[in-house]
Amino acid sequence: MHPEKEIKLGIKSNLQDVYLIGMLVETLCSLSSFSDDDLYWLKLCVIEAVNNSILHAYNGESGHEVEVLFRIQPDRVELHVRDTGVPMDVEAFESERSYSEYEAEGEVPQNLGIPIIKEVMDEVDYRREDGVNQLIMVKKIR
Amino acid sequence: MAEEKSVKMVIHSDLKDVYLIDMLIESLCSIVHLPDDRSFWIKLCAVEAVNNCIIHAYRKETDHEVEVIFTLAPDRIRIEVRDTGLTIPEKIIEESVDFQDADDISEVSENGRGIVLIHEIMDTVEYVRKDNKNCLIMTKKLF
Repeated sequence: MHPEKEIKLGIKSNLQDVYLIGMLVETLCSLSSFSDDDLYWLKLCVIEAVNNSILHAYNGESGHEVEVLFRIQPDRVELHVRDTGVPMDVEAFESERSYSEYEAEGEVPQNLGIPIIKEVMDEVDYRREDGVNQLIMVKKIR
Repeated sequence: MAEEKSVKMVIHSDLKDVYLIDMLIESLCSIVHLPDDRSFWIKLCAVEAVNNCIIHAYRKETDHEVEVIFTLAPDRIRIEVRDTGLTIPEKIIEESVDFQDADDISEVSENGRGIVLIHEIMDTVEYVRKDNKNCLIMTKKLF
């Protein structure tokens, strides 16, 4: 495999189209050696992140762009989910716990998206640059 | 499937990355359960079009982008391949239509074979310039 491959995927902000991103990410992940289990969770994280962009950043409005940058390296996959809608509260994002941290306290998160992403991914970051919100997720290939 | 579904894929203009488009188009064609041979030919057309962008529009320079927009309508697949490089001269497009009836592929210049193949396989082929991009738009009916 080439040391690094990169491809951008884009859909309009329709929840009905999110499965296309899921399918394509799954296909691209076949270039790596993820287990079926890892692959399932990785796909779920991308779908959750894209859903978040549509539901929260774009307030459920269709017709906006959601872009997913997929970058594969020999030791990791990086996914950048981008939108130009209303940004998340960065402090709230940073202080959000992972799913197992909720579980350890006997609690259930109100919104599952970010806790699942924090649980599954090895690195998660959120930033807004030049009017673009970007959720960056990294999963290492073990 | 009541409405159109559309997804955009963007790669660097590197021939080594074209297989990514090949993989993804195959995956997208599986949504409509096309016979294997039909998905093969559709995929081939997309790959030929992307190769053309890289080789001819960008002269194999790898720091550009090629966009492929795949749209699934209830009755057809539409693939639009876009670049911002050199525009294909009209003459080549016109000749490629004439050459569809050529008995022997050797009659067609090597540079034009991709586009001839695309005309042969797809139901409609259009080459337009919009938003400062060259767009090759191909459609194939599903039934």
